[in-house]
Amino acid sequence: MSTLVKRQKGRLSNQLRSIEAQLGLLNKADGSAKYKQGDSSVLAAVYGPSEVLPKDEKGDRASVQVVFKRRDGKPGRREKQNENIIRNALEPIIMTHLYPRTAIMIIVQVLVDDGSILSVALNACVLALMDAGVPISTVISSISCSIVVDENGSQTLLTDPDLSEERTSIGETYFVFDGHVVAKTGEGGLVSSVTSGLLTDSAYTSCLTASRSGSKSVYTFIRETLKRKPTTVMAPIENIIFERDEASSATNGSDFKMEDEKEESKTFSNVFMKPI
Amino acid sequence: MKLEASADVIRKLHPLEFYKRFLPEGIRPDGRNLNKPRVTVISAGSLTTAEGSALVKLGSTSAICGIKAEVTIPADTEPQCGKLVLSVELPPLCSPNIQRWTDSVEQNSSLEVQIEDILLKTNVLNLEALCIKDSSAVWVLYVDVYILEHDGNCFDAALLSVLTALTNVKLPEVEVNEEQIVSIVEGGSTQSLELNHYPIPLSFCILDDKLLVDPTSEEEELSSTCFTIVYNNRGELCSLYKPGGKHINDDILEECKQTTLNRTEHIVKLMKQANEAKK
Amino acid sequence: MDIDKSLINTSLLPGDIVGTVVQSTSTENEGKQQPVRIGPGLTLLDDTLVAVKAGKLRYDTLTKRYFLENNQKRYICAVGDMVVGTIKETVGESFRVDIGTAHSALLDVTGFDGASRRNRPDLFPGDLIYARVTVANKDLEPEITCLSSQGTARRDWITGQSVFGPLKHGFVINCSLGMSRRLLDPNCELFKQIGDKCSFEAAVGMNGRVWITSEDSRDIVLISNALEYSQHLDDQGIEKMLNTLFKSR
Repeated sequence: MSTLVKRQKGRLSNQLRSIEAQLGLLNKADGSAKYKQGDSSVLAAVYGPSEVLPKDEKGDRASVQVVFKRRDGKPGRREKQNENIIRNALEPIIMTHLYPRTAIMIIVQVLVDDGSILSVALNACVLALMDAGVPISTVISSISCSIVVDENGSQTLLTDPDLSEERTSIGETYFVFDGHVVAKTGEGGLVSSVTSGLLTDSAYTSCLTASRSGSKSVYTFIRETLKRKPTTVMAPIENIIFERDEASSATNGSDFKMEDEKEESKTFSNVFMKPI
Repeated sequence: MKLEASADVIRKLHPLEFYKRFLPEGIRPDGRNLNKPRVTVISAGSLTTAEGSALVKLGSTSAICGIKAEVTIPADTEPQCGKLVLSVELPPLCSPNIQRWTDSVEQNSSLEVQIEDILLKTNVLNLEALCIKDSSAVWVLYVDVYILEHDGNCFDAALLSVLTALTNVKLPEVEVNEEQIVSIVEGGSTQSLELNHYPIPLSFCILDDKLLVDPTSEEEELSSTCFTIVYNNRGELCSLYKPGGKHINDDILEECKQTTLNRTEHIVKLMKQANEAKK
Repeated sequence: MDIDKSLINTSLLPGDIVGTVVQSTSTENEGKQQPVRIGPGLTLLDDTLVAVKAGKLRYDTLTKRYFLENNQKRYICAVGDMVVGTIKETVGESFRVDIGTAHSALLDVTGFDGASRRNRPDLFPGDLIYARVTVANKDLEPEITCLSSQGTARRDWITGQSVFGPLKHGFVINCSLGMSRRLLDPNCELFKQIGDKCSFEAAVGMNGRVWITSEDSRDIVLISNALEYSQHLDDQGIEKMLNTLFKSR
């Protein structure tokens, strides 16, 4: 499992796809984030703390509600399960005791599903929560890994799989790590783990380690994104892009190149229509 | 004035404090050690109207599973495969926290997806074994699980009940005539289902930084995180489900994986004994 | 409390440690230890001071406290804040006012300077008021009042000269909390620049609402638009924008 294999589209087996994010795109939402990993993209919106329906009201804390929507198809059990997983990861870190009898609503809209969609959704939600100014006790980041088998029967681990890789995998894993714990100690910090398919112990441990180092890159990206958010006014939305460093073979924060979108003149004429 | 409160009152008003008196001693209010699961009771074939059934009790938590078999036309994409339709319900009678059927919709969906993923994605059952006639008739198994009492750890009880029920399913011998009508052969044999492997679960929770095995509902509510590990009798990991909560270290995870692995043999034996007893 | 001073004016993420509680046993240090005051965005978790929002760590020399500066749209009530509110309904002896928080605020019917049971403003649902927050607790409904605060000149509500009270005519725009704070900053040139072009009256609420009024309603529209656009522009852009907007006037 330690050999690095070249995949379709030129990635190595332990490399993440390039990451892109935009904050504050929705006018009405308190916080919003569009997060893209490769072609998989998700738009997350946060509303709250705001009014809550009496049946959901909790006397001592805010009620966290998650809605997960796909582009097509009727919402079914998988979507409910995804809502459950996302809510279970976010509710403990949101400081809900500060806002009793209110609701914090997190809406996840899948724009394009090209694999690892639950990880992409969770990362988008974390960015949206910070954009909304909802107090959270730590930053969490998520990465998925798949195990594929080739004709010889040997197993390969693929970090951040795309849809075609997921479809041919024999086992899938989804992990969420606490960014601070991982940055400080380099180990532990496992917040969420969901697996499917049959995995050997060594396969699971490899996925865990690979995802943990991948989550460090996502954590660094999140930090860079929020650094660019202006503190005084809502400046024009900036497109922050992390490009995969083709030459490098490892995945850690330093291997990404930051690319700010070309600075188009952020003048008045770009922002509204000219008066007649 | 000194108020003397009974243990029950403290348990209601300050449940975390109540538990903190027990945990440092390595014991829980119900007398168990921190790493001891509750007594598992498995009984098979309790529902005579169903083709397969099982009742599983983990302490007070009880789950009953009934499997009914019907004949249907297979899907175009998989003409040789039977189908499995799973439904898990937590009715209002199982817990005071569930007052209406709609309160438990999210939990039901979550349990259904978890169990279905284990059954289908790890290939527990060969769906080809349910084929009657290629492209025209297959068996569909309607697997219904009802949690009769929810005292923590419904998932373990539900999964074990499904596995036991699957092992005692008796499908009658059928034949298909020219008009594509399927009828039961009089005096024919019965077909049982072979499971490729037995995924055995064990759930854990972390309460006040201490690891508890097989938590009760009270312990689940007070815990900072809950998770379930499923290993099969071949030592393969079928599922590790930790949706969220406080982060844990790798060594705790390893300890839990080992505990789950050590228990698989015992549970598979219990299941086999239950099926023998039914005969 | 040991604060990491190198982090001041840098961007922090939730969970970043700002300082740790230092347990000092020697008596000589006790006299030297000054209490550390913290403001929004920072909280004490298990003996460490951590950031809970994404923003820049600042130290305010005036109030001598550390806080996290960030921009958000959702207003959370705090005592002393001046807010622009909309009356929702009359409930007994109070008005229920929408100030943008999850729960509506209560305003006593006689909570106006010089008001008594018989002499009080007649407010209907939809009317605007400028008030200050008196009670802001997470477990209670917020309470506001239009009585002038201590130290400010007290003018009866009837005269229309009071600082707090009903706001007649005009228009309210929603903006982010950061924008409100920027407008209330004495160094902010925006109101002066707009004032050079036309005369107006404004009330800035810390709840992300700004009330504008002017004699000519076209001016009200122009000023509201100017404030909306200035949220997204830098100083150069604002100048250009104002010139273009008021050119036709």
